[in-house]
This record gives sequence, structure tokens and C-alpha cells, in this order.
Amino acid sequence: MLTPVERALILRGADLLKDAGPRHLLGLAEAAREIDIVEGDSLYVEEDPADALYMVVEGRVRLSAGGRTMSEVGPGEAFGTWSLVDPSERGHRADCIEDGLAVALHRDEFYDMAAEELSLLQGIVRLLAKRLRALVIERPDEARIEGEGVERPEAVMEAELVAEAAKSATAAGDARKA
Amino acid sequence: MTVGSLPGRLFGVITRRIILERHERRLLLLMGALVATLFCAYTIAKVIRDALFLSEFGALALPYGYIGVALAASGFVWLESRAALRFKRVGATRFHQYASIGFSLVAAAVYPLARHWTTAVFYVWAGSQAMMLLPHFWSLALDVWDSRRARVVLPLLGGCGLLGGLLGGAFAGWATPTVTRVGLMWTLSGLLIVAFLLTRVIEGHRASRPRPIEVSSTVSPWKIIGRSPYIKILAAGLALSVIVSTLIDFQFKVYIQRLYPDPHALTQFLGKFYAGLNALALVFQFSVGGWLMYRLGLGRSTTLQPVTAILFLSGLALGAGWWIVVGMRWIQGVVFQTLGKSSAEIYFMAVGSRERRRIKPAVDTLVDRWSDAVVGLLLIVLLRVMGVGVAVVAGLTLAFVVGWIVVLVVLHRAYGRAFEQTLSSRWLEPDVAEESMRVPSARKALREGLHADDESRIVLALKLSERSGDKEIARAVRGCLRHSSPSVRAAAVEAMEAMRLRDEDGVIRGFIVESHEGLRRAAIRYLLARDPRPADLARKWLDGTDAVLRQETVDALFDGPSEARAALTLEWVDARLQSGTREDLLVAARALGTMTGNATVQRLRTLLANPDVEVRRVALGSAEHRPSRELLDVLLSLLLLPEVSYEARRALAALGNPAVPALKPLLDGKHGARAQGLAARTLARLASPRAVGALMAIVKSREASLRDIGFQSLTRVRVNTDKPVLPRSAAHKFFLRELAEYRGFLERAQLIEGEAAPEVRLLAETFRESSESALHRALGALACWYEPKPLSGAFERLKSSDAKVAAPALEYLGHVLPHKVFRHVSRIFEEGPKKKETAVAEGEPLAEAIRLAWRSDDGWLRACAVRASRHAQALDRNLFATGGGDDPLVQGELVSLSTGGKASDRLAAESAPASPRVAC
Repeated sequence: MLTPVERALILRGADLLKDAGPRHLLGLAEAAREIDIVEGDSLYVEEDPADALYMVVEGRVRLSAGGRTMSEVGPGEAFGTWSLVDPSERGHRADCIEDGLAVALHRDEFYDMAAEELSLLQGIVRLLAKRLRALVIERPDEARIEGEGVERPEAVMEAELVAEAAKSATAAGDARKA
Repeated sequence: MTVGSLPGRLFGVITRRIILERHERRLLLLMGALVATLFCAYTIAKVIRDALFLSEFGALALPYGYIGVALAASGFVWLESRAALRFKRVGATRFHQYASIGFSLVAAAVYPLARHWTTAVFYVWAGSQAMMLLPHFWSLALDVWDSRRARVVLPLLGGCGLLGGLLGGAFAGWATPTVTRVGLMWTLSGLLIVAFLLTRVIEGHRASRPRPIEVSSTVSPWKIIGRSPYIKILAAGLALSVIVSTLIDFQFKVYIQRLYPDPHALTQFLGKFYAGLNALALVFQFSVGGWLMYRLGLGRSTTLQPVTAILFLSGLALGAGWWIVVGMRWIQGVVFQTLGKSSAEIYFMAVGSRERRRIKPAVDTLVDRWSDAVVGLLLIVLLRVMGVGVAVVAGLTLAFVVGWIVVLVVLHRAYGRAFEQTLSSRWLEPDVAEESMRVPSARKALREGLHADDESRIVLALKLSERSGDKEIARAVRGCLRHSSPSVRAAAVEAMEAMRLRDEDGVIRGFIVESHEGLRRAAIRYLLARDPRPADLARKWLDGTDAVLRQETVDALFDGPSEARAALTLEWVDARLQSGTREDLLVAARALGTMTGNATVQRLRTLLANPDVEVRRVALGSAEHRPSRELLDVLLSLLLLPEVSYEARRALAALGNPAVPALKPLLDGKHGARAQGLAARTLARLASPRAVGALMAIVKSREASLRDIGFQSLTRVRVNTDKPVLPRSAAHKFFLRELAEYRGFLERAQLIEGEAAPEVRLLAETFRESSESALHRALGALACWYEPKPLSGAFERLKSSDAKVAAPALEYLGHVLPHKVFRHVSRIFEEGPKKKETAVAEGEPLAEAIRLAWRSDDGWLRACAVRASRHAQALDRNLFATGGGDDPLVQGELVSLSTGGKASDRLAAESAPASPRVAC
């Protein structure tokens, strides 16, 4: 059985929790559960709702979708991280390929703790906002939120075309005068 | 109907009209008695003041009195601010009450022995410190009544005040031969003591209301006045009104002193004079005053003041009879007191609200105090230095009146422009709206708004119309009942309810079957308020087959006291409870919130145990509305359930002090950290002195987590009540204790921050987290006395290691804290943490940090220290045998350490940063 300090150190490896404070990690560590993973077992399948984050402590887990292997996750690595904020279907399956131990943190328990510790949620929101900002910089058109900013981008293009046409007409007029 | 029952019936009519709960009626009575007592006392003080001064020094010495009053008033304001800083728990009100009682008692005792000096001091006191009791009363009234009730109740209280003034004047006028002037002084002291006792009773009803969020400005009010032409003209107009009023008063007193050379006759006359003045003001305020403002508009009604001044001066100059002079003086006094004050408030409304709050005290200072002093100086120069006669003063007064008229004309034009700007802004504050409705141009704008095309503009205009009595606006509001938008129709119904308009065409009745919920609810409330037999109507809906109508009827009856509540009976509730359906249980739970009594409590208890969360929530809402000690046990158990914890907290807080002994045991931690936090938050919401006392106990605890909860809760109380919750010295003491802890943890974190091993980094982060918590507690301690908002900002800045970021916070703390407290702050943040005197040997910082962590009371810190010890070669592991291993966290780590190896290997892979290869 892992001690709470060990679990806290393990949970820190999850992307969403890497900035969580030590005492927040302690709270999450106390809510997390240890699961023995046995080779051949499925932790979840594609249709299962995402309800928990997993951290591999020992052993290996294969993640696959539609029969195609996506990745293999080993000790110190996390999978299902985004289930903490997104309850959609998993979309892939997780199968144990080497016996070992994993730590699971369920979303409900995460939110129970977050309800008491606003700063934990604030930290996660900040992290998500940072990710979103990076995405927006990378792909601004796709990242535009409906109802924000220019609703009719074609109107801007029309205005630019009109301005261009006016400019050209002036230039032509000047040329004729010359 | 007996004479004795007349006041009672009148009181009943008034309170029914404004729809007050039973406990509010008692409160209204108490406050009416208090304001009447204060005005009665103040009128008697004025009579004594004027009579004694005129007898002892003569009217020609009044200018010295004006200057003395101005200086004394400034001195008392300064003294009040110092006392408020030093004894914030006593408060400014208490300071003034103690001072006034003290002064009046001493004056009454000393007067027979030293008339001359007592008269002078009494004059100065009555004109300065004694006057300050009244603004504190209005401030208390605004704390006791919410804004909706205050709009209706405050004018009633104003009337009570005038009645008190009338009684005071009458008593002074007719009882002087019996009690003599010394008797009047003792009466004054007695009235002030009664006022003090009434205030203590009423203060218990003070509620913590959320204050408007204000961004504090660093601009001085004088700069704001200086850069606004409108405010300068307004200040000039107000100053001129005080100057003219004081000059008129001076001439009146010269006149009456000649008529009444006998001091007792003078006292009697002044008593009758002030009684007459207050009686006329009472009649004027509740009848003619509002009508005049409405009919003539702001500009013309304000100009009535200089006109009445000219009439008075003419009466004096023409040697008119005694009755004419007194009559003119009455009219001038009444017009100045009623129309003058109202118009001044309206002119102020054209100033933006933030600026208004900043400059109003400064303008009041300028106008009330220094204008009097200017008159005093002017009269001394004229009468003493230049030796002119009193007749010249009349000419001077006339000159000031003419100047005042000119300023009023300019002011009114500027007001129109300034008000246009205010109205054109998208947001109009309720207090602006209320006053501005008296102005014809504002009513015109409102009528236009009611016929606008924009729906949101119409809704805003309908909200503003609620305070208007104009017939055309009422017609336009009725017209909005047929608007196509349901939101507009709902707002129109609400306006009609507030304006007490009849629905002559019966349109609103049809709205109760509309699909728009807001419209239905507004219609139900209107019909219940306006129906001649509301209980029968409510009963019809409650017994009907329409479940939605039933629910909304109960909601309407829950929200406000009404005669229709008689329709809700226990039999009806029992029938719903018996049916057992979810809808019926919810409606029964809500209905119980309108009833009182043991039987209600038993039924609520049953519903609070219902398995349906929503039923329990609604029942808790009713328990909050109708608090009962008998529900304490069940409320406590619900407090710990996450799904209903919030509602349970509110219901417990509504119980008041009886809940405190039940909540205190939860603070000791035996029920867990969550229960501690919930109990502390409930006590913070309660905010009574007993609740604060319970929270005080935990800020002295050895456990940091408990102190965290304590300071957070006390800060919440501080913010909600806007009053300090700790003495200043205690706040400083706690601040310094937590600051020392902050420094200690920070030094330990800095010892090991550079280490690579994840366990050591965890220990360093835990130290740093502990230091931040200690800093948070330190500023939380300060926030129990000082303004909390800037300290919250200071905390965010001081967390940073960047000196530039922390600088404004240090600047602020340096400004507010006494030097002997701030030097500790300066030592830590400006000079930097000192290197420890005992040198830490090379390679031993980790061992030293672990030793320091092991000595702390924090189980988590000790557990991290044990974990990190795997990397501290220089550490003697026997340290862990020295005690402190009782905590389960620590025990786990000690066992893991003794088994050794396996845990370290497992975690060795995690020394790299979080892997980017995560699947979602």
C-alpha cells in the first residue's frame, strides 16, 4: 500500500495536477484509490464514460482505438487525465499488458475536494486557459468563439475590397490627369 | 373608539399600508420614538442655547458664537475620527452619545454656579457636537432598513422627528415657568439618556448589508471640487443659502431680544416659536412641499427661498407688527428647512455617484461650518470694527440674497446640462432616480422612455416609474400592459403594483395563464396585493387544479407579508403532505415558511428528513425564513451534508445566538476539517458578538489550519459588517506572530529549493506553501481591523519574490501600520531574510530543513520531511524516534522508511517532469 506522500508524488505526474500545491495533492492522494492491474484486463473500453484519471505505478498499459495502438503507458505516466474536466466517452480502450499497480482518481471525488478548495479549481482553470491561449495563437480562425468579435468576416473583406477599388480608381484618375 | 386607541389605529393603518412584518412594526415604533426624542432634545437645546446666550451676552455677541461653533464643530469632527480609529468597537455614534450626555449633565450642574462661562460653552456645544447626533441616527436607520423599506420608512421617521421637535418646543414654551431653565437642562440630559438606551436596543437590529463595491480614489475631494465648474457653483449656492439664513437668524434674534428683555419670557417665546416652526414644517412636508416642487419645478421652488428671505427683510425694514415678523420668519425657516434640503439633494444628484460620495462631506464642511464663520467675521468687522448699525446688516443681507438668486439661475442651467449627461448614461442608480423624478424634465424623459422602441429602455423606464406619481406616466404604464413583449408587460405589472394603480380593464388577470413565468408571477403578486379579498383569491388558486399557479401563489405569499397569507392554513399544508407527491411536498415546504408556531416546526422537521434533496432545500429555505430553536439539531446534521450544506448554513445563521453553542463543538476538529470549516463559515455569517467570540478562540489555536479558518471567517465578518472585529492591538499582535512564522517557513524553503529529488522538492514546496498560508493569516489578522480589500491585494503582491511587484503593498502597509509594527515587515521584505547565525555546513541544508520540519506541529510537513530524509546523508535518523510520530501520515512514512528501497525505486522514474505523452 502506498503512503499518501507517495501517492501525492505520483499524482503530481499528471499534467493537470503538476501545478497543484502539496496540500491539495495530499487531499487528492487521500481520495485516490490503488488498483492492482493484471495482464489481459481492460481498465475501460471505448464506450465507457470518462470518469477517472489513472497513474501507472508499476506495470504497463496499452491504449488503443479501433484496433490500432495509440501508445503504451508505463510507470510514472498518466492516462485519462482529461476525464477530470470532460465526461465524454473515452473513445479508446486501456488494456493492461504487464502486471502492476495503478492509482485512480475519480472525477466525483476530485470535484468534492475542489468544492472545498477553490484555489485547486482556479489552478486548473488557469492551466486550461493557458492551453487554450496557445491553441488560439496556433490556429486563430478555428479558435474564434461564436458571437465574439467579428460576426461577419466577409463584411470586413467587402470593406477592404471597396477601399481597394476606391484606391485603384483614384490612382487611375491621377494617372489620367498626368 | 377611544382617544387612547386613536394613535394605535393610526399606527396600524400606516404599517398595514407599507406592509411591515410584526417585528418590523415594533422596530418602527422604537425608531420613531428615538428620532422624536432626539429632535425633542435638540429643540430644547436650541431654546436653552438661544435664550441663555441672548440674555447673557446679547444678540450683538452672536457673531463670536458663530465663529466659536465653526471651530468647535471642526474640532469635534477631528476628535470623532481619532476616537473612531482608537476605539473602533465603540464607534462614532457611541462617542457622540457619551459626549453629549456628559456635556449636558455638567452644564446643568455647573450653570447655577458659573452662568457666564456655562452659557458660552453651552452655545458652542449645542451648535456643534449636539447636532452630530442626528446624522448618526440616519446612518443607523439605513443600516436597519433595507433600501426598499427605507424609501417608505424614512419619510415617516422624518415626520416623527418633526413631531418630537414640536413637543420639545411646546414643552420649553409652556413648562419653563414651572421647571425653569435649569430644569430644562436636566430634561435635556434625561432625553439624551433615553435616546442612548433606545439606540442600544435598536442597534441589535443592525443587519450586515452588502456595501457597493467602491474603487477608492486617490484624488482629494478638494481637487474634484476644484476641477468641476458645476460643483463649484453648487457649493457657492449652498454656502450663500447658509450665509443668508444665518444673517436672517441674527437679525431675528436682535429683534426678539428687544421685545423680550426678561430671560424667562424669552425662553418661553423661543420654545413656542420652535414648536410653531416644527408644526408648520410637519404640515408643509407632508402636504404642500412635494406639490410645490412638482408644480413649480426645481428652479422655481428653489428660488422661493430667497423670496421668503426678501419678504422677511421687508417686514423688518417696514417695522411690521410682531406677528408679521414672526410669521415671515416661520415661513422662511420652513421653506429653508424643507424645500431647501430637498432641492440641495436633487442638485447633488447631477454629480456622479462616486464623486458625490467623495465630495459631499467636504462640501457639507465648507457650507455648514465655514459659512457660519464667514458670517461671524463679517458681522464683527461691520458692527465692531466699522461701527455700523444693524440696519446696514439688512442691506448686506439683501445684497447676498441678490447674489444668491444669480447663482441659483446659473446653477439651474448648469444642472440641466449635468443632468442630461447623467440620464444619457446607461446606468442610473436608484437614489438618483428617486430624486430626479420630481423634476419636470426628468418626467418628460420618462414618458418618452415609456414610448420608446427599444424594449430594454421601456423596461428601465417602467422601473423608474415606480417612484413617480405623475398621471401621464401612470397612463403610459397602463399602456405598456398591451405591449407585445412579455418582459415589458411584466415590468408594467410590477410598476402598477408599486404605484398602486388599478387595472381598470382587467388585463392583468389574463396574465396568470401566460407562458412567460416572470409575467405570471408579477400578475399573481399584483392581484394578491390589489384584490379587495386577497385571502379568498389566494384560496381559490391554492385549491385549484393548476399546480403551477398553486406553486407560484405560494411563492408570492412567501416573498412578502400580505393579508392573503391567511389562505395558507395547516389543514391545507397537511393535505399536501398527505398526498406525498413531490410537487405537493415542495409547495407544502414553501408554505410552511409563511407560518409560525409549534405545529409548523413539527411539519418542517418531517420535511427536513425527506429523502428528496430539493424538498429538504425548500424546507431549509422556510426554516431560514421562520427560524426556530427546535430545529437546531436537525439543521446541524444537515450542515454536514454537501448537497444541502449551503441552505443549512443560512438557516442556522438565521437562528442567531442560540446556534453558537451548538456550532462551537464542531470547531474542535473531532468531526473533521470539513465540519470545522462549515461551522466557522456559519458563525461568520451569523456575525453576532457571541459568534465572533467563538471565532476569536480558534485564531489563538496552535493548529495553523484552525487559525486559517478563524482568520478567514473573521475577515468575512469584517467585510459583511464593515466594522472591525478585533481590537487594533490584538490585530497587530496576531499579525506579528504569523509574520514570524512566515519568515521561518520561507527561510527553510530557501534552504532546499534548488534540490532535484522530487521528495525534496515536495518538502521545499510544502515549506513555501506553509509560508504563504502564514502570510495569508498575517494579513487576515490585519483585515480584522483595517480595510480588508487593499490587504487582499497586498497579499497577492507580497507573495511574489519580485521587489517591484511587492513595492506598492509595502508602501500601503507603511502608510497604515504604526512604525513599530511596520519595521518587522520592512525587515523581512525590504532587507531580506537574514542568513541564519548558526552556519549550516556544506551539504547539510537538507538535514537542517528536515530537522526544522520535524519540530513543527504540521503532520504533513513532518511526513514530507521523513520522505525527504532518504536523500539526506548527513541526517541522524534517530531524530525520528524523538516523538511527533503519532500522526497517521507520519507513521506511514516511518514504516515505509524502515522497510526502505522499494518505494524509492518506484518513484525514481518520476524524477523527470510530467510526461507530455498522455492520452485523454
